[in-house]
Parts: sequence; structure tokens; C-alpha cells
Amino acid sequence: MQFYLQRVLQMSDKWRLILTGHNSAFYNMALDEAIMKLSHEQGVPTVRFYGWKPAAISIGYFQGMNDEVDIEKCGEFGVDVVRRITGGGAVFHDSEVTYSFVATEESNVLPKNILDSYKKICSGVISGLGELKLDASFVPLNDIVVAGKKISGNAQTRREKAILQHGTVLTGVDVEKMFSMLKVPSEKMKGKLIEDVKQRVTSIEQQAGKKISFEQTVFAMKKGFEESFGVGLKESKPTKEEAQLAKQIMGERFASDTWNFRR
Amino acid sequence: MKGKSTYKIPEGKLVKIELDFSGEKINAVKINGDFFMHPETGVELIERMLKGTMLEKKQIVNAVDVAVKKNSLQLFGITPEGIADAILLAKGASNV
Repeated sequence: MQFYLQRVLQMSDKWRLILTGHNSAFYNMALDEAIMKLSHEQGVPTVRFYGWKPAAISIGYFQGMNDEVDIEKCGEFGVDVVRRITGGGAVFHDSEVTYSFVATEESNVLPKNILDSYKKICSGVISGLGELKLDASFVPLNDIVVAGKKISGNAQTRREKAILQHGTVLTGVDVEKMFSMLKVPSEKMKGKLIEDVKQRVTSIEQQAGKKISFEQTVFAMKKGFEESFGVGLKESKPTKEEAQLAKQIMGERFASDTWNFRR
Repeated sequence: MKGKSTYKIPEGKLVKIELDFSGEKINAVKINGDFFMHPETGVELIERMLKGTMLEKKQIVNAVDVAVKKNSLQLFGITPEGIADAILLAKGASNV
């Protein structure tokens, strides 16, 4: 009974849901950072779902742009490149739903331990995949798998007592296209590498056996986060301050070669 | 002399090293890869700490450890030993 009451009380909590649809890599990364930077002004955590238009490759904070990405090829495909403020690897963002989760440390909605907090946030994605009848599980440090294959990669940063985690949920996957733009250690091994990755990576489409739209996936993920955190997500827009800050960060950082090619 | 290496940390992530050294001493090193570090700016502190360090495993591990402890860094998918192995690999692959 007590557990039930606690749960009902928690469900009455409303966190912020931001749906921004498809935007450029530069805007997407800037808005995530702006929401994190201004999170202390929000009373509640924020969950955002978004897509990428044009398609883009993001690289991790510590990666060398020219080590990882064939910039010329990206230009041919009209694919943008951006450096994230989070670590991890290069990601080709095309057919996917991306989420970001922002909370202050003092909100206490996440474990203090970084590895545990990855798992907690990923549980929202796992519940969301469950809504789509997919049986997913967390593989430390930062992956979610279905049928032993990676369907979601996740990356977290903590700054000024705020936590940002963003991650992908693949709705479809085109490994050949991805590797035509990513550099590989040896061109000779490229064919084998592509075959390996095809064995190790999957998508909602592959696992569900049918196409599931961006909107349907977002809806499932929203329910997943609500279920996993025992809260309701209430849709709202970025605040004026967040929108302004995002614009500023986009110009100063994510749309700048100084940032994107700093390593 | 300059050297580069790509090294998969056992049970960890991929590290890519760009090394500049004279004799047995590190002039500069860049540690790239798909690992995680909190705070992220810690990587530059480690790189700075390694300047002037001798190219010997124990000394590299020690220098990384000092930077990690002094700045309360948390490393994921990368270790001081892994960084040292990757740097020594870059030394081995060097050309003038």
C-alpha cells in the first residue's frame, strides 16, 4: 500500500518534455548544452527527443576529427560533422531518435555514481523499447542491446553540478553508408569491418521486422522514461533564455571549426 | 621524433596517441579516443603532466596517476597503464 501511494505521488510529478523534431547537428548539440547550463533554473529534470536534418556525424570529445571522419565524403553526402561535449565514439546520425536527459545533481533523481546513473537513464530507453515489444538490456559502460546487438549508444557529461546524458536509438541502420564516411584503420580490412559491425549493430526496424516511425518511437520512449522514473512528462518549449543561449553556443562552439577540429 | 599508435585498452576503449619525443623524453603527447573522462578537461591536464616525462612505463603511469588524483578525474574505458602502453607503442612506431 505504502509503495502504491509513493508511486502515485511520484507519478503526479511532472518533468519537462521538449520535442524539437529534426534540426541541424549544431543546433541539437547547442540546445542540449543550453538546457544543461540553465538546468538550475528549472525545478525539474528535462527529457528531450530529437532527430538530425541534415544527417550528421558526431564525434566524441576526445576524438580527432580527421582521424575519424572523411570530411570530403561527408561533403559529398551533405552530412554535417560536429564534436560533442561528451566522450565516446563517432556516431552517424541518420535514422534514429536521439534523447537527452538533463538533471541537476541536487535533484537526486540519479545515483551519484556515474556508472549507476548511466544505467538508470538507460532504463528509460529500455522501457521505451519494451513498449515496442523489444527485449533490451544495458551493457556497461554505455550500450543498450537487443538480441545481443547494439541498438543504442549513450554518453554523459557532468558540469557545474548538472548532468547531461544523450544517446541514440537506432530506428534504421545503413552500415555501408556510415563506413563510407568514417575512417577505418586499414582500407584492406574495411569489408570485414563492415561485416563485423553488421553483426554487432541492429535497429528497431530490424528487430521489429517492420518500419516504426520517428513519431511512434518518440511516443514509446516518452512512455518508457515515464515508466522508468515513475513521473509524467509534460510537453513544453525551450524557454526564451534556453533558445538564446543555444543560439549563442551554436555560433561560438558547435558551428565553429576551432571547436570541431580542435583534436 | 614523432610516433603514432592506435591501441585497444584491454576491456576498455580505443586510444590513439600522437607522440613527440627527444631521446627518452616526452616533448608532447595527444591522447585521443572514444573513452570517457570526467571532467573532460582532465585529458589536457594529463597531457600537460606527461610533458618532460621519461618514456618508461612506470614513470608514465605515475605521471598520469598524479594528474588523476590531483584533479579528482574519473576515467572510464581508459587506464593509466593503458595510456602508458599506447604511448610506448607510439614510440616504437616512430620515425624521425
